[in-house]
Amino acid sequence: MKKLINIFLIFTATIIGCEAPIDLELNNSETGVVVIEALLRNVNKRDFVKITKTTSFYDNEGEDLVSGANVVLEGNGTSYNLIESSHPDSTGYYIKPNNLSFNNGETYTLTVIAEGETYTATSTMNYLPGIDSMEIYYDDIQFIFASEAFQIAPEDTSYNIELTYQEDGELGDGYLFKYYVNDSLASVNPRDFVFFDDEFLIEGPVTGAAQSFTKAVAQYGDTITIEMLSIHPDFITFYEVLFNQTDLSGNLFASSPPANVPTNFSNGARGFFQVADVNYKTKIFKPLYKE
Amino acid sequence: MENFAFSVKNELHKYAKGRFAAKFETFSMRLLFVFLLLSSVNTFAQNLTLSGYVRSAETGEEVIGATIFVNETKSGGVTNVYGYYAISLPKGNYNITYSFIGKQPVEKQISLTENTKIDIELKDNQVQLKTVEISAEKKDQNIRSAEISTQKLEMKQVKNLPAFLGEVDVLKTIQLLPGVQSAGDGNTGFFVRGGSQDQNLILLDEAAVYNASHLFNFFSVFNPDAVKDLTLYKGGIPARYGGRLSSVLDIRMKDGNSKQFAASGGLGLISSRLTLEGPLQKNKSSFLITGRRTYADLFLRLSNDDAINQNQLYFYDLNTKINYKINDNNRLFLSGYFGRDVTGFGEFFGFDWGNATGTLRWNHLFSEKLFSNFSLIYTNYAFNISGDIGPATFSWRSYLNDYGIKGDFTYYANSKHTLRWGIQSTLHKFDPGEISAKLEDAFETTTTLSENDGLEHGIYLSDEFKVTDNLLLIYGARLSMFQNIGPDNIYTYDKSDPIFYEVTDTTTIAQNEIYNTQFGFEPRLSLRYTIDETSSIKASYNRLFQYLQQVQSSLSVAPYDIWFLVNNNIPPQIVDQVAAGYYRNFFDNELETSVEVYYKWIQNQTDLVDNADVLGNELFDGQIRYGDGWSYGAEFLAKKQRGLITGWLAYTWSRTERRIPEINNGEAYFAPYDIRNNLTLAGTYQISDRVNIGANFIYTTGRAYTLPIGKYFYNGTSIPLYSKRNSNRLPDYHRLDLSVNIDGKKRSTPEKRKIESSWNISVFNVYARKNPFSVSFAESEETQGAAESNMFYLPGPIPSITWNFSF
Repeated sequence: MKKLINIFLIFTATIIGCEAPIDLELNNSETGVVVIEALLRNVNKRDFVKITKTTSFYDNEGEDLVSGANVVLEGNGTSYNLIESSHPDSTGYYIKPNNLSFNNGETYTLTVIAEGETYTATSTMNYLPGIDSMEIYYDDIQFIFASEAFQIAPEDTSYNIELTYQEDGELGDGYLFKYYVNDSLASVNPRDFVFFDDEFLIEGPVTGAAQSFTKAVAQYGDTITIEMLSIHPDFITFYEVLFNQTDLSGNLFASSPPANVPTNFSNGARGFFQVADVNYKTKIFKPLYKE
Repeated sequence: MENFAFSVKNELHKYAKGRFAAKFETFSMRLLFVFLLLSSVNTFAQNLTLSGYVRSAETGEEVIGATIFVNETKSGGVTNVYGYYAISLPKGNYNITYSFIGKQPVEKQISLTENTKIDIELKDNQVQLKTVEISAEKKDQNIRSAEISTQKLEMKQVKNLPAFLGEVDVLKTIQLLPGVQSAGDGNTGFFVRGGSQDQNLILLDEAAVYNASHLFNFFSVFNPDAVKDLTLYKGGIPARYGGRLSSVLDIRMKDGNSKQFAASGGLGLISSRLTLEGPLQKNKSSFLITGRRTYADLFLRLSNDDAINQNQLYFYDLNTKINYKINDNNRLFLSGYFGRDVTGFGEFFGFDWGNATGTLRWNHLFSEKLFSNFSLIYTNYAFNISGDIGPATFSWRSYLNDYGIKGDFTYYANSKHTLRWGIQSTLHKFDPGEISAKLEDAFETTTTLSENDGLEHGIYLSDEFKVTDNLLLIYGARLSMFQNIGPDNIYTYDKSDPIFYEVTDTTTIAQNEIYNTQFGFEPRLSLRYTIDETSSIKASYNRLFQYLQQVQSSLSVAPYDIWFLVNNNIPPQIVDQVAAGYYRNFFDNELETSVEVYYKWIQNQTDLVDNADVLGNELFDGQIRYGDGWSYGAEFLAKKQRGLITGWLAYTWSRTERRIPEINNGEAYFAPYDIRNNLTLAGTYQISDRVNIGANFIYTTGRAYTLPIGKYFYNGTSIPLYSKRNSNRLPDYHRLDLSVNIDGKKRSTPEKRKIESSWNISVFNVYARKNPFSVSFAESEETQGAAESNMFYLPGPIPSITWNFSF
């Protein structure tokens, strides 16, 4: 609902004022802050810790990857070195060892030594319920909008992936949903992620839309796979703030001043470290009408 | 007098229950002692009292701030907000001059043998081109009064200055005064001497106005046709005011013409206005009704495009006032304001908000020396957001109500002392509201934000003491008291992470349970020393407590204001301000100049923590941090009140900082409205009998802002990297507005009634400067991974034309 209000406000802002690009003299003296992207899943799939450095704001050169860092993951009484990819296009990517699994409730520490500085973060793997069932429905809201004034192009027809899972009733968990079409990740942009914490979930079976996608993304008969991850509520805050700061910052109606997206790394590094349990469910794409 | 002292004590006892009794007892004894000491001054000088009302000859309206000057004693007085004056003089013959800016002075010879009442009517000064000099006229009120850091605006002058979209706006004019910063282009928000917006107490006929803006802050709620007098206190705030730290803007509505029926109004580009006023019983009672409505939406409806013609975007307001003179000693006033903004996009989205205020006042003269006023005050601010897009609906209603009662007394004791005292109580009922959202059968959620109620009380006493002919002293104090009232939830936070507080415990307070009682002792002092006929120095100190504030980024223009009362997690804000000034008049008081310096300390200055989420958040107090604030500056003003050219030139140098442990790593940072240099020019030039031109020019150096120092990527999204809060500056701001006012030929009807009309042509932002209101940093929509910065600005030049009439 807040999103709806925000959309309205952004719209209002554009009718009462003009927007134009402005080139400001920015003080870029502090570029080169280390950024660590580390979402490690409890599944034997290729994950990595990506290390970059901040660049100047108007710089268009892409990411400044950091090579030669020492990346160590500790937990459960053992420690693992994450080795930098040897592929020339993947410098700055430190690969999670094969067959590495995480334990529920266990806290893991990620230590990164890059360019002489040490950065650490910890993350606990949270409870994740199994997915009992999965259905793909036509998004029924779109039909209410459909009228002469508001035609839906065939490729814009949208579908919801609905899941049923058992909520344990204990607070402090958060879930992140991504989906795959024929085994390739379709929710690439974080704006396509669905995430929420369990504050409003009631103990017992929960049924709800976990993702939505359009006809442009998948054909009937394609394999749709949903990925459900357990994440810490702080990681949800991280994403929420990320979107607020990147979509709403400086807006006439923004209720909070511009500020950095939070991090769980020490020593001034940006980014976030999360160890996540993960479950999958797959369905062949053949949408149903919801009753 | 003793009776009053007794009743003060009685009142105190009523409030002082239980464990607070002891504290109050000490205070009330102290107060009683001071009081008796002061009232003893009453006994030694057996003077006579000259008193009465000063009114306008044309409309019968009481004149606020008219000067009464006794030529023989070189002393005098000023009419109060009800036009009443009283001065003490020994038996004798006197030449008294009554004067007011824009009015012809009246001289009166009086043989004072007993207490005398003289009501005076002053005529408008119609001679504009000839600068008639009347030597007896005392125009040096700025030199002689003890009021420091106080600005009054003449509505006539306000109306001649250029107006944004032709809408004359008092809040935009006060932004041109020294020490006052604007919140942005075309924005009515203002900041006084480094204070945030919610530290301004805006009073309309004594009722607090919580959101003084229309249409996303583009216009203020004050219809200029209804405003009689406007005073802004930036420092040396008198003891009769309390509750906000940084300023008091006291706006008084017109009472209505008590002599004859009159109508006036205007047709502008975006709105039209109509005022009707007249006597109900001649010289006994009168009424005023004035309304205004914008009509942009009426044009929208003419469009064939469904996306446009279903939109609503308008506001209206209505001011009404009735006054009734029971007899010479008793008078009643009933005034009200009602205004609403309505925005909507078809049936999908509706958003409306507005204020309503009502004041019932009773002026009573116990004797010619003791003037009193009793008021019942009501204030309401409410907003309502609703959306309905088929299966998905949501709504959010929120309101706040104030119910107040107060009594104010002025005792013109003798030629040396004028005592003022009073008592005030306000019940605040703040309901942040219920937010509900529903998506057909999928989900339904209702968030009820807990109601926030409290009682705010104040008693004050002050004495205006003419120590010598040169030294005038106003000293006094206010005791404020605040109590939270249940039902409420008190949250206990785990503050181990300075950014994200976690709730660890909730205490529920029962309905009507009073808790968290707090007191504030607020001493006030102002003094004036005249060096000679044309110059004086003044100094002041004030302390104020503020028990309610707004949860909002200071620069947001969104009307969903959430005000909250102090509670166990947020202490009251406290300010101490010292100000000193030098005042010098030139050319027989035609040019008034002043220099003022001030220093302000604020305890418990609040600000939002990084990434605060306050919109509809029950746990908003966990998003607020508090610490120290300080601000200092110098204000230079040259003001020309008479002649062909009138207006002022003001320059302000100021600096405003805060230090809050959990914000900006505990390092000091600039307030978001910190502006180092501010130069304003506002003036009008009378070209001929019928034509004058006006100009505003503003130049300020850039406002403090948080700009990115770099960017990084996470999941492929580019994210700005910021360093310290408000450590950068937006570009300098400058703007020129021009106006031409053309008065129509004066015509008279057979009944000798004057019909007057005038045209006002204004151009806002003449040279189309793009002044950024805000700057946003986002990922480029065209190039993935590239970042861009965009600014919101108001385009220019914006011309407008308004036709005004009166008869």
